[in-house]
Amino acid sequence: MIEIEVNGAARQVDAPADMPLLWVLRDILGLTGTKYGCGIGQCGACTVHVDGMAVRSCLRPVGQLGGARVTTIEGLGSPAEPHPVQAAWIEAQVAQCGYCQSGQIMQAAALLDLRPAPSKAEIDAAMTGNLCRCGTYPRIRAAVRDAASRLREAEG
Amino acid sequence: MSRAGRITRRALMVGAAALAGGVAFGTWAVRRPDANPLKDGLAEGEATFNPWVIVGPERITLITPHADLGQGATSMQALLIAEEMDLGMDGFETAFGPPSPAYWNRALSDESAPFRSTDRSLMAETVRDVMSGAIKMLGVQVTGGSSSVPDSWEKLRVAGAVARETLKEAAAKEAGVARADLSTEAGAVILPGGERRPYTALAARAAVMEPVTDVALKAPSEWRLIGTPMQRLDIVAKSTGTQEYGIDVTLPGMVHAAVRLSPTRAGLASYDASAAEAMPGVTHVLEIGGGLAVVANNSWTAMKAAHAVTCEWEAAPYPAEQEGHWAALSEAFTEDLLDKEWRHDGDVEAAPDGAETIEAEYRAPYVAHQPLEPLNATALMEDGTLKIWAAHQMPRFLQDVAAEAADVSAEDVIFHNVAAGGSFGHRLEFENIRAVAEIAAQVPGTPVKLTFSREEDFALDFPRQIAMARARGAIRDGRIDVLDVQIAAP
Repeated sequence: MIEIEVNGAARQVDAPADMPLLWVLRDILGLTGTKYGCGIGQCGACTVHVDGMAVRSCLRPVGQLGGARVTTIEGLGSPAEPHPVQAAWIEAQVAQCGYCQSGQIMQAAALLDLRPAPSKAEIDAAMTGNLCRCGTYPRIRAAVRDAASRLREAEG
Repeated sequence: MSRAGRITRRALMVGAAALAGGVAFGTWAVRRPDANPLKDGLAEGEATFNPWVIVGPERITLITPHADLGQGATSMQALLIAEEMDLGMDGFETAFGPPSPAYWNRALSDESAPFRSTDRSLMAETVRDVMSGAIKMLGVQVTGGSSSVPDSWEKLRVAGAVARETLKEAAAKEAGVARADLSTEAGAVILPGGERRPYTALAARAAVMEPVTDVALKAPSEWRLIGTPMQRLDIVAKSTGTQEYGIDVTLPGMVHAAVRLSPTRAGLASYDASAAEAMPGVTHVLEIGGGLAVVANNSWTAMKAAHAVTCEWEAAPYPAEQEGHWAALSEAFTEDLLDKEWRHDGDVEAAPDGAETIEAEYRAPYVAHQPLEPLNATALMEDGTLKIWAAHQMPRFLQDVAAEAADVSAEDVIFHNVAAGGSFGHRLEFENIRAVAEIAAQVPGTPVKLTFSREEDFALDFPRQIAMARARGAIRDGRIDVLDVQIAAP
């Protein structure tokens, strides 16, 4: 049994130590908001937060995460109470097919935790590993900037 | 008769059918105009009723059969119905609807005919009608070719208008007033005194009435929704991780599968699955058409085990390396292999005096579709019925493919379309469908979700074909004097 905290709840996971966090979330814990895209850390669709940092969950063996604090898109916010980054994504209507957007949003949220007022170059640098096959990049950039101002306002 | 009446006669048979506690507005599958030379080819049961609008006592459901691949087709289709029905965009649910010949795509057949879509000559219209008839006989329910809006534009608005007028008629009968004195707003009929009668409350009465089919569509000046900015219906779900895609479908007791299919598109000569079978969690290694499938207790184990099988594939029926493909194209620029000449005038061999000659070769490579959501499908074979959940652009063909693979009849394939994480043409293909049908048939009674690894998705993709162009030209005094362009493509 491996103990991890997922979205604020302690979970005991019966999984091989080398099973990637992505598949533990999706196939064992039923948290399908985190997406499989490539399995080799090249697309960013599986991005979650581990102890507050954006990581590619397809590359994180669950055995290395004992005691870690994991946040997925489901834990960031909900349809009724979206996180400011999600609210910005909704307002800008970023998604087309939407499949990459969980990862995009988690990546953006982690960026804004570290850099509350990122420059355009910093946004591009942070988001460059998250692929969108529909090509929503201009709206992603706009939504990240909008989310930054929402977060700053929320903090007063 | 109104413009809508003409549309109704020409393209749709609009009507209504009673449901338990409610009413469905929709179409019968096939029109039968006297002049249609193809009508004798109709099979029995093709004139089944298919709904666009279902009004029940609790809720209103709009059927949006064009698959949503991210292009917003669901929102677009719902909007067209909601416009004519006077529904608010939050006043209904949507569903993809079952595979059915009633949802045939006229716009795509129009584009397939050898006339530009702007060509409205008699000849062009006649050919389109025949093509359209053929497509209906085949029951081609297709999402593709940027045809969803042209296909939906008239028929969904007519369906919405028929629903609106029939619900008004129900309210008129109930209240003892004339339909002409009623209006509609936000999912309700408004009586002359201002009283609201919600559509849902009128459903039972409308279900036992003759539908009003002689309807007029709104003039553009009356549109509330069309032409105005609005949120996609799925935007909140897609921003909160709550949108269910094919890859997220989860059924009780479900097992997970992965495939190892021939990268050469030739047979499997031999294989050794002992390492895969020994992996904890692996329950089956199955032989299926084109290769093998592994069934396990999670997708990761299934993929890992599929990768661990040692396979000897038969040689590809085409050049094994890319260079061989370019060589084949390069050697195709001969008189013998000339398939078609688009234009031939003047003498392109003779370069005029003083002209500068330019030669160039262009290559367009194979391109994989690669939507971010890899191909997947979930299936359950139970009591001779094969249920499939997947995102697909051609549900009717899917039924045929799955039926053949699982050795059941197409009527016994129940298909549930789901949202797609992109397509770009990939979900017009059937590799995942064929495979999941075969796997489900071999583990009857157990729901199985097949997820292609990204590697398998690349290897099994039918890419955009390659092409090579050779161009030669001559320029004199800044003008093109000679231009010779030859193109080779498989």
